[in-house]
Amino acid sequence: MLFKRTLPLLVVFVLGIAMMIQYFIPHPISQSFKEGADNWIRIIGAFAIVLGLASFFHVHTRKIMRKNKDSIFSVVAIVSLIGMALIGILGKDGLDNWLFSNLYSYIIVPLDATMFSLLSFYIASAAFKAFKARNAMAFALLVTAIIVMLGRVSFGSFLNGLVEWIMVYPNTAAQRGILIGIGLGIIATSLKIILGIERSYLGGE
Amino acid sequence: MSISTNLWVWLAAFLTLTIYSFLYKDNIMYKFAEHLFVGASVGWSIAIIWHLTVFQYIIDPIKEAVLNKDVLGFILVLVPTIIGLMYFSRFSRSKGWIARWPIAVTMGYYTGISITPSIETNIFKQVEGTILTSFNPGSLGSWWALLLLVGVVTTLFYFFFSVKHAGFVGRTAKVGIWFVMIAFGASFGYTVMARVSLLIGRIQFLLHDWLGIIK
Amino acid sequence: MMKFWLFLERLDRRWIYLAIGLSVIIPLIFPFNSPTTITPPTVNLWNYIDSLAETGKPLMVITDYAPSTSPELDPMSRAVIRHALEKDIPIIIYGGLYPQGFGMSQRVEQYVIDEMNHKKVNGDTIIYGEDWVLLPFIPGATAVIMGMGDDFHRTSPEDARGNSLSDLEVTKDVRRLGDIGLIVDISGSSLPRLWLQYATTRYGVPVGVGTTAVSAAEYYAFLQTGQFVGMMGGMKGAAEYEQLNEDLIEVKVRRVASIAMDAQNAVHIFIIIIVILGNISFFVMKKNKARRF
Repeated sequence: MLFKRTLPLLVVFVLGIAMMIQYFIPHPISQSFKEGADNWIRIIGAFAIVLGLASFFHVHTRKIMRKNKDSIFSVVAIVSLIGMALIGILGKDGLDNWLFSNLYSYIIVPLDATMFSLLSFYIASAAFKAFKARNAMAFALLVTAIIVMLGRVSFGSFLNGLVEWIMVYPNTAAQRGILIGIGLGIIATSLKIILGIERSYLGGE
Repeated sequence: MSISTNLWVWLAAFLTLTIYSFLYKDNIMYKFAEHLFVGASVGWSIAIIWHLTVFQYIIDPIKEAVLNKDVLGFILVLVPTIIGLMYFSRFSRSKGWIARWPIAVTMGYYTGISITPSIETNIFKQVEGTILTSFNPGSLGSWWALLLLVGVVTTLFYFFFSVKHAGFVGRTAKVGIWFVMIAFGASFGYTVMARVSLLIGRIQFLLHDWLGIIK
Repeated sequence: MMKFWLFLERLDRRWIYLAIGLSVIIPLIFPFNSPTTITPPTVNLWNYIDSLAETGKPLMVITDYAPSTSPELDPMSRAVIRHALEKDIPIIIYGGLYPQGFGMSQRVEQYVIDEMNHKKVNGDTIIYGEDWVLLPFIPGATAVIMGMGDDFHRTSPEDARGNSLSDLEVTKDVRRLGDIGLIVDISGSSLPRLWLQYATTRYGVPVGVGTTAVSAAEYYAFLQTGQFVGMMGGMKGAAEYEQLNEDLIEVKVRRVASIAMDAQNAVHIFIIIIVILGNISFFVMKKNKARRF
């Protein structure tokens, strides 16, 4: 239990308090402690990314083992991963390798951008099917959305002043209210983690 | 009109159209493109991390420390490397708890470091921007500043769930929800612009870079 | 008439997809050169960057985004870099806190550099190391900003091409984040807030932002307090910046975002029409149902 729970919680407490205090102490010792901590976090963070990759392999190899009709796509994912990684790691000129750059520019970029651009079709369809003024508040939302949509393009440039006013006053007021709420939430959660009240990040007992 | 003669551009155009085929119906080609994307982008990240992280922050400093016989430098890189390696215990059922150590170090660092700047950025500065305005009844700007103050306070009331929304609190929260609705409406309007921009980007690629129809 | 509203209610969504596609394609093929109205947040950012020419301090442009939002954000990165290079403001191009941003920074760098060196007469118009520097990806997110705040060269000892930062004209005097004139974070996520939280609040470095339209509404709260010096919001913001570049410093290049605004016009109008039609249909059907029972 000492190594499984007590010591990790103690590490969070000591490190959390130390990082909080060092903010107020511009002494060289405090500075070099912070710089050391920054460096450690960078190294540890790199392994967290590698962990994500290991998890990727885990999921797809399991799918391949199951041998259902979609297994072939897991093979595509793994082969493209290995191919891309090997070209980047072993290719001449490292990251400036022409094949690696072209695969990025002409495969990853178009696929990623196109995948996300599908959202434009869905948002239009959703606006048509579901964006209804069912009550006064929904009506306010709808009218504001229409004013902003129109005022942000040249056809509705006469609304530009009104849109800027909406953004600077009512919009800022609500966004700020939400922001302050989130800020307070972050502080409360951080303190709960440092004090060991919130432990869910450690996983099951 | 000048159609591209670059095969890479043709490949990108083919993949773009493959993804759009999903709009009509899910199909094999879409699934192929989807998995190709996932694999290739993770593979790309591996190569980036290999060159720019593993070498620069782990292998090179260890090499340097060994060559210079710098014991402290060696330990300062080796210890976080070992802590980082502990993440891999996640794949073992019995030793999975070891991964709590790198998680604990990361959590301790980030929670401790974020509290003070978060208070200053998200609370102090925001409150300051809301209340620090000299009020002049003759100036329209002052009335808008007052509207801003009312909006912030009532929105906070709306999101304050520790008290029952009844009586004064309920009425104040109701004013708050009007501000929230206007803000969400504005966000929706902007979101439409954002999503459409992504589509325009792809169509520009097809019409300009691939088919050469537009300038 | 009832038949029409019923037809609308049951309309297959693929017809809407087709209409959206056409609303984008037609204005791109037959542009009508819609004028761009400039808004204060973009002007403020442009002016702040322009004023850096007098201080000699470098500008740090961060491409904190992935290819998914590149159609919206690439034009911003290009316009800002172009502005700085035209005004001889040294630039540090940095891919930001996640690996994907590094790929974006390489692409944007290549695009602008090719464009500028295309007009070379005797050699290159701009030179790497003297006019701009490209930083590599550095893992650690917040730790990177904190590290740069205290010791820039220790956090990123080399540029993306393996040169020591101490040997490059642009970066040799940048010992810490405070030596940078302005950070412009171009991002579709909440990362500009992270730069604000650490670079501005802790190290006092001003931050400007270029963001997707999705995040623009949220960032108005930081503009009002003066925490962000200015902002480009979505493709409209990018088009405004391109317009300012053309009007004020005579940058005559292909204005990607401005061209796109014609299509934005058409799609916005189309969506407004279908939202109104959808609502009329909703109320007509509701009334009809009420009459039947």
